[in-house]
Amino acid sequence: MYKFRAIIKSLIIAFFFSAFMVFIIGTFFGVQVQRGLSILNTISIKLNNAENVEIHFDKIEKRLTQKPSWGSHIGRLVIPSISVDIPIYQGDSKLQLVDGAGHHAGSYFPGEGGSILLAAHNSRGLFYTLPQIQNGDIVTMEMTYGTFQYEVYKTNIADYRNIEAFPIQKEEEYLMLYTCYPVDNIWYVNDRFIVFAKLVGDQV
Amino acid sequence: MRKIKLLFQYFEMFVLSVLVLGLTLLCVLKFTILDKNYVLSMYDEKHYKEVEEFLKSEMQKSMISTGISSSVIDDMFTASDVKKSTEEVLSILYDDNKQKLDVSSIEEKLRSNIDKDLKEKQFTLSDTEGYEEFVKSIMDIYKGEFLILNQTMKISKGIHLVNKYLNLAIIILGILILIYLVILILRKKFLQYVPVSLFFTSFLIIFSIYYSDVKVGFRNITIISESFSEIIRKIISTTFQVCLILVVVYLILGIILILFQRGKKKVKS
Repeated sequence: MYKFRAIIKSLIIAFFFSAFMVFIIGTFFGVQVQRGLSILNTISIKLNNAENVEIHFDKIEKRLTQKPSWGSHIGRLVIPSISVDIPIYQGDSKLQLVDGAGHHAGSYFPGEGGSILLAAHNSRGLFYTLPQIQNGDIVTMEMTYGTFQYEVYKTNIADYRNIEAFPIQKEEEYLMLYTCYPVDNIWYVNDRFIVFAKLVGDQV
Repeated sequence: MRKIKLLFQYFEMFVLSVLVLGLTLLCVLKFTILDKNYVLSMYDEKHYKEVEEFLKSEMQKSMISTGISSSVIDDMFTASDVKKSTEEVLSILYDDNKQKLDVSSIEEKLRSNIDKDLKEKQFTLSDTEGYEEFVKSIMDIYKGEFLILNQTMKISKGIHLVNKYLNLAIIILGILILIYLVILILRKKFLQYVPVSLFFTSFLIIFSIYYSDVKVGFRNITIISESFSEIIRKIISTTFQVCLILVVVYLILGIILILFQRGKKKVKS
């Protein structure tokens, strides 16, 4: 019985010592501990798997109520005149550009009234035929919240480092599609073939 | 007077407890995260294969718009090369040898495959700048998997500095605890104080593991790549397991030491 009491006594003393230690650390080093945990938390993120998402569009405010997550499948890009019919993904990193067009996260969405920027590789099945597009051709973006049609009115070739060649603005809605140019290149190229198309119809 | 004596006793217990906790944590650090063989044991053949597949997939994605066949990277490197590079980087981090990651044979293979591909396509090389940029970008993908965001040398310096002071701290703490224990044995307080310090260390380890597990999503750590993150998660979870084993050992040892205590003699009047 004595030994059992001795064990309990030792456990209680140890418990109070631990509580006191936690109190001391919290009082004098609490800020540093929290900072360390925050830093660890910034690298403790779950990878988002790309998935089809429902995007909700506010017709009155003319904006998306919630932006889709990076990598999610958000729609389809159809250009019948140059046989393009490819999926559109949110984001334009390597993963999204493997088998579709990537929507630049810093640009607007169809229906929001601003510039929309889509990129795709110049490989066959993606934007290989983009340089064959003509003024007047119709480009359709079939989003989960509506269908939007754009008419091509100009094309341009610019260095990818020239950000003014890809103007992001909110005064009028137009679509910019771009790909590496020339399309039959070997190695990496600096030029981009850019297509500009203005909004001519929507069904939200 | 008696209260002061009691307070002093508790103070002595607390000091021993802190010393034991400090020595335990330093030893755990030294023999886990700061031990090259421990970290190397986290890597297995499955990991090397996954890294090989991941790197080749990343290289293929990066090559899509270049016009070069993706077959140039098919036999560029194997899982054995990944293993060799991993061991080299761990050696850079933990051994004081200041060597660099050697990827020359892999780069040579890539160049030879590109030349073969160009020959098959009947292209003649006129743009050497583009060629070199392409080779560099593919090799950067390979090296990026191992060089920890190009901070390898900084991390290596940090590890050597920590190890230097860690060894010294372990020796000093060890000597202090040894002297303390000898004094306790002479004062016949050994079986009274040591269990408390063991229980104290156990409680704090349990609390720290629980607190950090709740506050930080260790299971979701993602850095550089999924395969690298998997290794980090493995290191953290096995280190926690080692700590929990220590907790059990300390608790059992503490209870055993108390059982060895002699009971108080009851004086019959």
